Amino acid sequence: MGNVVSFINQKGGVAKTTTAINVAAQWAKEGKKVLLIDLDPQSSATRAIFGDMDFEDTIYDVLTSEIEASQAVVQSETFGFDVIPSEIMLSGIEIILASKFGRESILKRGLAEVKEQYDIVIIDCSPSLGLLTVNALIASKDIVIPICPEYFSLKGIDLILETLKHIHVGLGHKVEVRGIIISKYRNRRIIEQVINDLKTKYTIPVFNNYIPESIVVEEAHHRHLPMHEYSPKNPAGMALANLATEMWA
Amino acid sequence: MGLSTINPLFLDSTKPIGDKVVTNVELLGLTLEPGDSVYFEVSDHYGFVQRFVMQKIETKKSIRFNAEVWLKYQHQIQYRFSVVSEGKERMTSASKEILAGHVISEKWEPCTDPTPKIKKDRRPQRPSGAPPEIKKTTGKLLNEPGFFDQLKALFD
Repeated sequence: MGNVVSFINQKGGVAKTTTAINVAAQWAKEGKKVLLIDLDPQSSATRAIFGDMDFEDTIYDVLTSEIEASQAVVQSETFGFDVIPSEIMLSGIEIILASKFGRESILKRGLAEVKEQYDIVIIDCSPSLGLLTVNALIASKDIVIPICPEYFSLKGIDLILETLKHIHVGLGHKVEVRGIIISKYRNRRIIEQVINDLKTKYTIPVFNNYIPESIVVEEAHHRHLPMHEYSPKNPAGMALANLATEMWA
Repeated sequence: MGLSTINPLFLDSTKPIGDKVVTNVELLGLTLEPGDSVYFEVSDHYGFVQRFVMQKIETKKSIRFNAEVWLKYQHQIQYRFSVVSEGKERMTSASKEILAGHVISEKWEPCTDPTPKIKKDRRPQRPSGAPPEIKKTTGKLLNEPGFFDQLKALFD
């Protein structure tokens, strides 16, 4: 109970939010109690799930200690899991947090009670390295790294691993890498090349279910539906469902 | 991780610089002979050296050596690992300099330098009574090839 996993990549456009919300939806469909936290000031996950709805209580209010995390939880009946939504005010929070004592573990302290009500907590991080991402890492037991093979760069993985090392040494918290997700692929041959490069350089596992690029995924986002509901037989939808099963094992 | 300034993102805001922290020291990839011990040797910037024997922790998949030491957070330290057999140092790793944090995790790499001892910080000594030496460069400039041509170019 209460495991926290962050979806992280400092590079944007790698389908981090897509995989996070669809994996969460699949887990919820299989009966797991899931909480998703949108830690991105762009509110990508919040928009994909709820559309243009505005929320009075968001993760911003939790981080500024205005409210308890449980007060910010909103249920999504369509996706089947709970969400702590984000808002644009989150983009200015680092300045507020920077001078706070224990600034790197504010999120961890904020989630301490509420996470025990869930089988798993997913944090959808912003594509940047800052105090918010550090908070996500300190709050997490492990991370997954979605990558897009066509724009793959070992440097991106190196940067993440370097960040984890800095956090271990400087902050005393060890975060494991659960695995790498290959998403938005177009060319199967490139995947094999990428996996080869990853296996040569790292010991990080790569999940076997790769997510193909598909316009249907964007359509599902616009309709605010999970893929397993919008287009369950679509190859990307099936891959996301299988990925969720693989990740839970 | 070198001595260069650490990103403040990775500084523990609950620990003032210089505050004592328990640093977990971990050494991987070392196999000891019977009768051997491995030590973690650390010195601060005053040259005060401490030595800690490391405990072996064996799991199904790996063997590692551990020690917990009190260090001053973000203060400069020098450290190395040494394998001791019958009271004598048999092998040692290279000395490294870092800013102290919560963890030191290293893979064993024996050093080939015959005297890799931790160096104490020393200031350079000037001989007493001798005046400071003024370096003269003008004579040398006149002998530099092309110097006169450059001077001539300035006036043209």
